[in-house]
Amino acid sequence: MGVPAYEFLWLSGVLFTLGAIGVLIRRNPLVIFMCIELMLNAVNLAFAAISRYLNSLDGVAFAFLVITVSAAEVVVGIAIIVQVYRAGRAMDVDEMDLMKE
Amino acid sequence: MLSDYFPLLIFLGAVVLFGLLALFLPAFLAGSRQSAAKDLPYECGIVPRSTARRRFSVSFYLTAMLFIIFDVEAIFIYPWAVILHGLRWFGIAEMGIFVAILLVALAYIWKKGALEWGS
Amino acid sequence: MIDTSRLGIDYGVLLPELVVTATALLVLVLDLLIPPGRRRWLAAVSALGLLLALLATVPLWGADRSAFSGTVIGDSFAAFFDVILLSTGLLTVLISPRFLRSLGLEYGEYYVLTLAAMAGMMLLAAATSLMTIFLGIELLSIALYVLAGFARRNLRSQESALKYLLLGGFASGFLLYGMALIYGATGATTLHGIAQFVGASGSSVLLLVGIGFLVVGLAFKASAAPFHMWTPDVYQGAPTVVTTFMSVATKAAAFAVIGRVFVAAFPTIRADWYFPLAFVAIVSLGIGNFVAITQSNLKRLLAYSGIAQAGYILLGILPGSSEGLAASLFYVAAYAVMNFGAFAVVTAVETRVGEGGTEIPAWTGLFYRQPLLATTMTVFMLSLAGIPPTVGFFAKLFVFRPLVEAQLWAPLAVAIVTTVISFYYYLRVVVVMLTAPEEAGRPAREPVSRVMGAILVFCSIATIVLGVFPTVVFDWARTAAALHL
Repeated sequence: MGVPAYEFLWLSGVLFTLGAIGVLIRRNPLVIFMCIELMLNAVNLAFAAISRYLNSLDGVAFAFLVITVSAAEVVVGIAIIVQVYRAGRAMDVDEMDLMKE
Repeated sequence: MLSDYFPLLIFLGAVVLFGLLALFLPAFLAGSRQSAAKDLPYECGIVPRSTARRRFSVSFYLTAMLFIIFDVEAIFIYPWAVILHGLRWFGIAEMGIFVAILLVALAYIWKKGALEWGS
Repeated sequence: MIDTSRLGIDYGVLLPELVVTATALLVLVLDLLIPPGRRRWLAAVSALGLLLALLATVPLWGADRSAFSGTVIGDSFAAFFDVILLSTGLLTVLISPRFLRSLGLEYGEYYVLTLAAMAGMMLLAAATSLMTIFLGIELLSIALYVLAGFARRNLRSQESALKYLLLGGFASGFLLYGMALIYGATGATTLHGIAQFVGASGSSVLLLVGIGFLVVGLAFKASAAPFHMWTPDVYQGAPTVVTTFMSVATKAAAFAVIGRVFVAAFPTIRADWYFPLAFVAIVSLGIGNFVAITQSNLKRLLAYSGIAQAGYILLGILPGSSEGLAASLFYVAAYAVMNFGAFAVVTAVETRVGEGGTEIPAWTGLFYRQPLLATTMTVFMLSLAGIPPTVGFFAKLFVFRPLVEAQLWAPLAVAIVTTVISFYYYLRVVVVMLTAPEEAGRPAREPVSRVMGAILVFCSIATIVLGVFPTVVFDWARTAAALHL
């Protein structure tokens, strides 16, 4: 008998929370982006675990979609971050305030 | 139940011990001679031409990103391949559309020069 | 041999989406083939594709065709939103070439990305499964991240793209986690399966937490408070045509999902989702209408106005009845016409004056310089404020009525009070345009492009005609809101 499914759900919850906290406290856009990816992968883990627990393939199919979409998001995201970096701006989201009232 | 794993524990212990021995024993048994070649990242293989801490061309990232995006699409081809026999021509046609869309994307990045290296 | 007939493959249901996607691919290839000077033709090809897609939605009206293993449906609800989205897309494509030329941004990718976002939004309108909802949201979001940063050399545009990307990704994470929890609680990913499970066994903690996360993700996309933080910065920094498009179309698509999920899939547990949604609606009304007063940039003002409008649209969802949903649908249609018009005027002014054209002081005395722009803007402002005989008045009236019937007095009271407050900032724009400019002598009139002028006149006539004869569209909304899964 393997590890029960709810253990994986706890793990995915912890990973998701770590990612969310990372997004809130880190200031480098690249690191924030990595934290978002951590959140998405936590979701993948949850989908895979639930899928196995329920014996249905929907969750696995969903995880496939999440993987593909997050790859697309990463490519677009890195491109945008590189673009900002090349404009010679500090890599700190707290200083992104050209549009404050 | 747990006792079944006892041999595994012994094996693990032996592995760690051997690793440590191999690490420290030569220092006592063999002498130590320093030379420039020994400080290289790899003692054999390609001789490094400059320091590793230098900027990479942005082309590396571009290529890596393009690789990821096309590579991940293969995720959908695996489950398709498993049931292709059952799907017959319908499956071939569906995957044909999928790959055709990817080909349009490939044609686009090709024409835009994203596959050119160092120009 | 696998029996493919059981999969419910029915391309007719997705025909509008497929036409738009095919057009996007065609434009991508054409962009490689035609010389840069001829890029205006790409706008024409895109417009043609959108018109064809509009034709393809006709058979869906009155239909009830669930397809692809219950992941999408072709019904009047989807057709209603498709028409709104496609019209918005069509008008956007028509006003874009001149604006893009004025910024030196004539790239074919603009049309490809707009069409891709359109495909995602239309998929959302037809989605009846968590998977298709997720795919639609990401397709529209990823395309819009790039579009927001489309003015590559402009620091504000870059900054808005980065903010939208990071906060949008964050919201996607919550949305997905909510979906995973709902799947875990009900064992289904289609709305039909979820509704069946919930109808039989009621709610559970796992399900409610999942729904909560789903609300966060969807409210973010609809830019409803308190998940609206990105809206003013992104709306201000993005190129104005992009803002025009996303302020209308993204909100419509997000409310298509919210309507279908809450009214059709979770009607039996309305008591559980009423308070979170009512909270979001009330906070949106409050923050949107109050903060808009202090804005000095028109794009930011319209951003906060859009947050408040999201609150009004949500009001119709709260009773959980199809009558309320019909009111929300009517509001979305009205919002599309008047908000598109308002942002189109901003686009026209900015095309003439440059980036400073979005600051309110630059609009002083617009009536004397560009009477067409100022007059149409007045119509849109009056309509957004909800003053008769414009469509905005009936839109508000229609969403208030189900609230009275359901005796939901608290949201109604907040809505009425904040509406009165909103008169101040909408009318201020009109007053500024009427104020005579300080410099002596009347400045020369500057003409507006014919296409832009025609579209503005069309939108303002639609705003007034729909205000005089609202019942026609409201009947359509009622047909569309009679949902089943």
